[in-house]
Amino acid sequence: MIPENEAAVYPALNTIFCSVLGRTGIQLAPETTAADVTGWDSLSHMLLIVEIERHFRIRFTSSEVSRLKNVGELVRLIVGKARR
Amino acid sequence: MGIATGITALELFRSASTPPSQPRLRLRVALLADTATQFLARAIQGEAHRQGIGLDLFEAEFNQIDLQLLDPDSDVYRFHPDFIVIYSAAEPASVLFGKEEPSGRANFGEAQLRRMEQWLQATSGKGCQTVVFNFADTGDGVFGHYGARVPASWTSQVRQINAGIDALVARIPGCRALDLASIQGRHGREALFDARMYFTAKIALKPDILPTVVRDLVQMCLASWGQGLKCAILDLDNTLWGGVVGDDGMEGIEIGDLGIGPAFTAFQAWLKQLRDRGIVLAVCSKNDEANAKAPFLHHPDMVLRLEDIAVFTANWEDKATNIRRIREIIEVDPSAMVFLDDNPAERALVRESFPTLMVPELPEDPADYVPFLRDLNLFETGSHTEQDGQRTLEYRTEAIRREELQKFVSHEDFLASLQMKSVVRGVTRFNTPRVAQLTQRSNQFNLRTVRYSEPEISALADSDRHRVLAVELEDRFGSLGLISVVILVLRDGDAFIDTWIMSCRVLKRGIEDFVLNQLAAAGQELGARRLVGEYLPTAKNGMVRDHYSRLGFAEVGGHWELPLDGYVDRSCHVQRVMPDDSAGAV
Repeated sequence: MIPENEAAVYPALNTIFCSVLGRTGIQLAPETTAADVTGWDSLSHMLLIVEIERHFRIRFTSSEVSRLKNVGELVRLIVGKARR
Repeated sequence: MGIATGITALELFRSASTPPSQPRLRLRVALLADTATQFLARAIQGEAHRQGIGLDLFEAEFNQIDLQLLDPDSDVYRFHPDFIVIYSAAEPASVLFGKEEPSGRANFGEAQLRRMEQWLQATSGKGCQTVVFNFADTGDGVFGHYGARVPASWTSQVRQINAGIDALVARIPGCRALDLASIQGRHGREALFDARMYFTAKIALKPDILPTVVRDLVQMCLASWGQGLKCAILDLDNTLWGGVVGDDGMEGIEIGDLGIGPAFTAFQAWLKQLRDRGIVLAVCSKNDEANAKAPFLHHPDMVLRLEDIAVFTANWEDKATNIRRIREIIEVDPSAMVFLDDNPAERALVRESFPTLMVPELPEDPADYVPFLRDLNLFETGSHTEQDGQRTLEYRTEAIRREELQKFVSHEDFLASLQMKSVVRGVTRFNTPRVAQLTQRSNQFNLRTVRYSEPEISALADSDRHRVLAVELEDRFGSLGLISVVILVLRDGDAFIDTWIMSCRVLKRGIEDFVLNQLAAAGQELGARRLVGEYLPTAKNGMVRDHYSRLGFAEVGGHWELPLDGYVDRSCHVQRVMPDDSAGAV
């Protein structure tokens, strides 16, 4: 899917995070980092990336995968790539 | 979505944290690799749980294969694994290969194989089995398709390594190869490998392929634990051929060149290979019996003939009833059977009646039957002997025996009429594989369920304290082959019955009495005062709970004892004869 704007990405991301991490009620915000979400470690990060790529039909590069600082950056990247 | 398994890596990871409440067996598995194994380990754990296995998993630290395997005192061996899984991946090796001087590249595979041989030799004889992954074959893009002709190319070296692994596992007891190259061949490089995961996290197997890899791995473990599938139950109309033989007539069914007949021909040709490798085929069809049998007898394009089918049930009763009838002759647990039927309603009924029986959702299009079933890899096995192909014949003879039994008023008269003769041997070069296989496959009539590998059986043959009796039986209908294995060990002046296994095909024939007479004689030869037996209950061996009390043993503190002094042979209808070749008789 092609998101209208950054805000439209969050509901989809929340669903993906819940499904990958096997939890409910995850609410991501631009300033959220891995340290704020239980279970978001380097391994589940890989799985999250795979699911996000599948959902938005995009592909991150190796350095993008390892460089992301917070959810806001991730969302900006998704919107930029999905629109291309 | 997991390829062909219907489950995703995520779901597997989730099952990893929910062990089965009542595991059907417990396994200890050690995993060693030169790439990151966190995903693989969790997927193995999850798949084991899904299959009802309680799994203790030892995950070695990254890149410790040599260190762990070559030190007999290492953590891996102290963990006492049932299975050691070694995943030495092609990806790190391919970089090492490229860094070699050109002169060294042609010998790269040989050096790799020497290392692997050391690993496998080190695990052999440690009381565990070892599974080693082969290399995913990617080509090199350096020489292109010409690479296979250049010994110093990666393409040549990978193929040499894979052929070498096959030779190693054939030579070193207790070792097997997991064919990652073939999995990649079926599912593609894309499904197996993600370069980013590899270069950022050293993960060489992508989550997409994990369900397939771990399913095959767990099935390999189960198969060498005697839990493989033994019997395939087949529907006829629209399963083995297109159309309905009762309506379309034998000439009208689609097989051979008619309609989509080639798809059914391919399916039958695949089933024929299963039959030849020892999977017993049974037919279960709602049909008039004569109509159902006609194509097997007369249709020129049928690949399967009537003699390939061990038990043929074609009538108008429900399929659960007929499967029970099939089980009277092929005495295997429903969990060792698979039911193949194009009709979803029949599948649902069978699934409901036998929850542990395997019922795949056959694809709607018969053209997909073979690729679908091939990908499921249902028929994993831990061993193979030449005699396996005889199994169908043995069960067909058994069906004739059953019919004969109806004619006798008393069971004793029937037994006498069978004219049973038995050859009792020790371990010989020729019967070692079959003796070991029986200890690995028998679950029901098995008093202590001790599993032995071929080298372990050979070692027992050389021991003064042990006696292995391999009992073969024939009757007037034909040979039943090896039907019982008993292992005695001299312990504190008593002959302890370490193993007593019997084939369920020969139940209710008084064979137990005959075997006990042989045991008593062997025990006396060992100089023992008593025979001492033990029953170790499992989920499947309830039928022998009262075995020793029925044979007149007295229970003493959890064991069963029978004095050998003054032992009187029990009467039975089996005559012991010398083998024709007289080689290896006890």
